[in-house]
Amino acid sequence: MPKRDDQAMVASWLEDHGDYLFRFALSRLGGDTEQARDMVQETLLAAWKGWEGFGGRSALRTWLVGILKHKITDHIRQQIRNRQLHEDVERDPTSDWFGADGHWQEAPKAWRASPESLFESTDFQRVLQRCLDALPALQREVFVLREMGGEDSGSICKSCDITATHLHVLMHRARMALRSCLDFNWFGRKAG
Amino acid sequence: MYSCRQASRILSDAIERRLSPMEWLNLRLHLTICGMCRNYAHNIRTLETVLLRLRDQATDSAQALSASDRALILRNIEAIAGDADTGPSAP
Repeated sequence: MPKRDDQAMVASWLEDHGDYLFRFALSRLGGDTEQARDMVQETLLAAWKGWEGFGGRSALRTWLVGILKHKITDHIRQQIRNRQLHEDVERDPTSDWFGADGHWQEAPKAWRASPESLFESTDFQRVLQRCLDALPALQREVFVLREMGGEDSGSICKSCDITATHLHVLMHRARMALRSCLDFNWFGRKAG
Repeated sequence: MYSCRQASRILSDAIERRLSPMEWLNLRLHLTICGMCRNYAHNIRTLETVLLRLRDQATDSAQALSASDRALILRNIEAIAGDADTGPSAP
């Protein structure tokens, strides 16, 4: 049973850093609040267990974020294993958009809406989220880490156990798929 | 000369890494003559800008753990920590 002091210590970490850790996890997990909450919990638990190894060499928050990053990486690796996510490596989905001669099957039309007006539309945000959710899982994990989490390529390659070239391929496929999904579900086929 | 298929890949790579001078030149040349890829470039730039705004918003947002989430976390930690009767130790 943790001593009363320990409980107070963990409670104070939660108080001071809980929201920060929660937001950090949320942005890297594509807005999954339940998962983000569990990550905060696991981080605090690991911090409590490893407290004696901390030694105050860095700021407490930096240390906690370091633990959280490991937890997120583990989670993503697990997801990739569970869902056999390497399925999309075998077939190039961008083939669907191009003919054998490398030309567009269907010519992309320029979106007229400004980024600002799209950003301010909650309806658009909902459609965007749906399109993100529809991506093959590894593409989605990588794209969300990169674009929503702002992670650098190096750490994503490590987390997901992929090469830089593979990362570029996944980002390209995700952009292709999102552009097409948004075209279909938001801008409409006639959107000029 | 790039095909549209190659150009679309290089357009995405341009967001991810520094292009070689040759890649950059080939891409420029292709975009000069290809309106479809210019449209594609325009659209993924728009997408990037929206995503960046969303990221900034998420960082600044007041999104926080609810009181019940906090209580749940503390309860769970207490339960798990209670099971492991060893108490704190170095990892």
